[in-house]
Amino acid sequence: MGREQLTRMTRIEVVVAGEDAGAVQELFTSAEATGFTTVSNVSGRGHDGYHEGRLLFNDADALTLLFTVVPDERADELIDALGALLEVRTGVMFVSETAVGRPGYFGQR
Amino acid sequence: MTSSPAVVRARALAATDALPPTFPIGTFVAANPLHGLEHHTFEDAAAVAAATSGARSFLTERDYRELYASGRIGADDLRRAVRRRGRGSLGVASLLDGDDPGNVERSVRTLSEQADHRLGGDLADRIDAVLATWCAAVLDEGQADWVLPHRELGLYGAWRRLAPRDPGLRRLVGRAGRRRVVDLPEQAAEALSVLVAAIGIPEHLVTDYFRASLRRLPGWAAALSRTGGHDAVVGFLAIRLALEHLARPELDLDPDQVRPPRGTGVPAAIERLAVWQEALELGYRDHLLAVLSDPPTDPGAAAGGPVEATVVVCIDVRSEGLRRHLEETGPYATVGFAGFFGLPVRVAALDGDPVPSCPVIVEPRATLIEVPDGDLRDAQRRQDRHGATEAAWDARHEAKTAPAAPFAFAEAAGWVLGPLAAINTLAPRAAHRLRRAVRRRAEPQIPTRMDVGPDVGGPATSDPVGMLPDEQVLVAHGALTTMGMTSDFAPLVMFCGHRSATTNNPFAAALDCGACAGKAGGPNARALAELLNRPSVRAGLADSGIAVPETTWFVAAEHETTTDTVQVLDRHRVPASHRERLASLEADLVVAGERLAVERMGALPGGAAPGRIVSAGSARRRSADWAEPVPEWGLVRNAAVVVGPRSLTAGRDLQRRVFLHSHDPDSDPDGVALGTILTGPLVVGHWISSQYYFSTVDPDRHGAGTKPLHNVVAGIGVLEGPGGDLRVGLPLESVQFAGERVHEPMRLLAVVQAPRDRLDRLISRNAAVARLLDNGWVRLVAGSNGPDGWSERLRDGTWEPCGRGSDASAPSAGSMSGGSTGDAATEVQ
Repeated sequence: MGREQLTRMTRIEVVVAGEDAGAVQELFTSAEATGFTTVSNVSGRGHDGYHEGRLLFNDADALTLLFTVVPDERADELIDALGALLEVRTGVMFVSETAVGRPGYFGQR
Repeated sequence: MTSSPAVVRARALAATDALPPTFPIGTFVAANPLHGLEHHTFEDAAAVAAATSGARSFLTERDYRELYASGRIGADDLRRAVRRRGRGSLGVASLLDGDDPGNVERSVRTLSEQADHRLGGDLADRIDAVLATWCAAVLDEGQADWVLPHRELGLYGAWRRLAPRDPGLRRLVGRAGRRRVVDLPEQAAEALSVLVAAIGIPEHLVTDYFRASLRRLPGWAAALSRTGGHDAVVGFLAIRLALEHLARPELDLDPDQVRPPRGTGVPAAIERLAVWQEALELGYRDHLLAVLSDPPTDPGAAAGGPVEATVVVCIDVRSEGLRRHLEETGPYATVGFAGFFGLPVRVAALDGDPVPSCPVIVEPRATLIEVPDGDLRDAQRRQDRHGATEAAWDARHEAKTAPAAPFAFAEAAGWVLGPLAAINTLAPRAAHRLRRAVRRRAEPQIPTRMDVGPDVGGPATSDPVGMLPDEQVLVAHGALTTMGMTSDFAPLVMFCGHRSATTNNPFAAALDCGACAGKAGGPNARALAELLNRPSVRAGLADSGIAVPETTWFVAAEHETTTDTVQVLDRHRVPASHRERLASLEADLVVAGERLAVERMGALPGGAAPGRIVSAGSARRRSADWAEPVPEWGLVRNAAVVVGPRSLTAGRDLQRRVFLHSHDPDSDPDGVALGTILTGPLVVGHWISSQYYFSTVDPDRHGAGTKPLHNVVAGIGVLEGPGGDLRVGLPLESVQFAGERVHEPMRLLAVVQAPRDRLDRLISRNAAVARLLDNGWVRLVAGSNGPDGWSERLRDGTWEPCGRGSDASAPSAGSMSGGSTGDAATEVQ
């Protein structure tokens, strides 16, 4: 399959505290994202310092990476919603173009 | 610009940070009610809380001055606090004699509150009353006999269907207003979007407006958020804004009264109180360091040497007393570890459903179930009788609650229930023994064990019952290394969880194990003992360098904190080779428990009344008495957590005020175990400390009110009286008695015996811990009694020497008790 046969979509990645991962998932679902991926206990450095990934007895403070892929026409509303959440919660959002081979899996009508 | 439903929905989710973390009353877990403000400094958070809800975050200035007059706050403490926290012209003289500025005025208001503030009236309260009724109806967990119609539609959906027939709504908004409910969009998020525009809330203030709305009924809103997810919060806000809009207050929204003050600095009133609080905490810090650096009052208990058994208990402050008294009785070592014993699990009792049994900040990763461990025919017979007993209880409940049935029930059963009520009141211990005998007759006890998973192989599922063999070794390894028990195992090691035992007490779970999500710690203790007695687990541990001798046996037990009795669990699994040693330990635990009970009784209301003999039996009476508002003091006066080897604290009376987590800095040079303690148990300790703190400084807003007025509602919480908000926090009887404060509100002081550069490194790698320290929510002291001494980490990350030998001379260890003469708190020692 060549690149030209893929369908362009929008990939949205969010890194938030574990206790906020549920809210992000809910916004994904409300935007009719058909799926998402969650990676818990991610580590790395942000503007507020380093975050250790392996917290044995604390899942709430450990960071979680969530990402989803949605059709472009549904992306803006989801980006606005996530932006509103991240105005007051610690976290970051990355938006990028991506391409998928089975657009129906990702909610393309 | 109108916000889309998706954005409005996101802002509703964001606004839930204004709510206190809450849990069902049956699994009460202590939490910081200002958790959502922890990204602010403590003083900034106090200013926001005051401006947005009128809540207090400190004692009153009068309270502090009384503590100064009593000697609890010393003159030197106050001078040092002024040097550290004082701003501008604020000095000791001003604090002692200046005008008390009172609390900060509330300045953030919703539309209905603005109407009441400007025009007079009680519109906001009347809206709350209507909304609270709907919340109770939709959240009911089986307590109500009539189920709310259309409940499956959620709060907003059910309300929209039924509101046009709600007489309460007619009184609030009139018949015409009530009819307009059907014009609202069917979906809550769409309705909320429409209402935000109708009320005229500026886009940049929507989240703040939602926060102010949620704070009107924080108990109900938090319960909705917890049980119904964010949909329920969106529904709550949609109804509240609809009621405000339909009630048509005759004024426009003033945006300046929606936005909390930002960038204006901490108000002077809060600056003053923060200095007083600093002085209170500096006094305790120096007192504790003096106790730790003074020679032990019981040198025998601190001597060390070979031990007969090691007893591992929860870090809970109540365990400190048990450890102290047990070590006095014989050659025992004790270890402090988080009471879930490192098992992130759900547990299911023999007849129960799985429930989380680990700290609420930990996600359960496996389910452990209690299974029969003997003749299956006995288990079947018990199961049958259990079913009959449950049916009998259901029938009794029906007879009490069904229409007209109570009359017949009283006629039929009054002759036996009447005398039983009299026995319950006049002879609570006899009634307790009678109930226990009946229960044992109805449901005979059978031997059981915790099923922790297969020895080998096993299915790999996403939520297995038990743990896979590799996981078993991993969990056992994590538990042993974090508690610092990796060599020199005693022949007998007891894992002792804890529970409370009270009667007629909706807040019973608040006295259970916070590390086990407000439940008893026995199942976790049983599971860890089961794991560590397994040859397959021991073989896996040996591969990673932990050699458990064949002669060592692990046994589980449970400390009942209301009576200070310790019950051995799974006794039938103890091999004959260890029974004599266990019997000896049990006998000494009885002695230690009775001494501890007598010590505690002297501090309980009426416990040391003139002419009353203080005995361990008094504790058992309190436990069984259905009219006793203070069956035990729980974690009252908790003040600090000490992380270090037992040699630092052994033989010293820490007055049941200190969480004790064992840690050997020499065997943890990389700080792996210490990092786990800082990010886990320390955070749980901070939550407990904060719950007691805020329930004490503002019992009206952060506390649950008084027990005699409590009504359990919807099976999830209590109201104080017939209506209003679901109360959050601890009841008055957990922090004060007869109007006298018993808890001494202080932010958690962590004393860690470890090199400061190791702590610096760990803190720099854990932003969440750094946030608590840098913002002043937790105070950290590190070092040792060695030549380098102790130092406190200041908010800017630098260290300031403290305790003996520092520039700021510390008082003697005894000055705290003597200095608090006249303070009600001294009764609890």
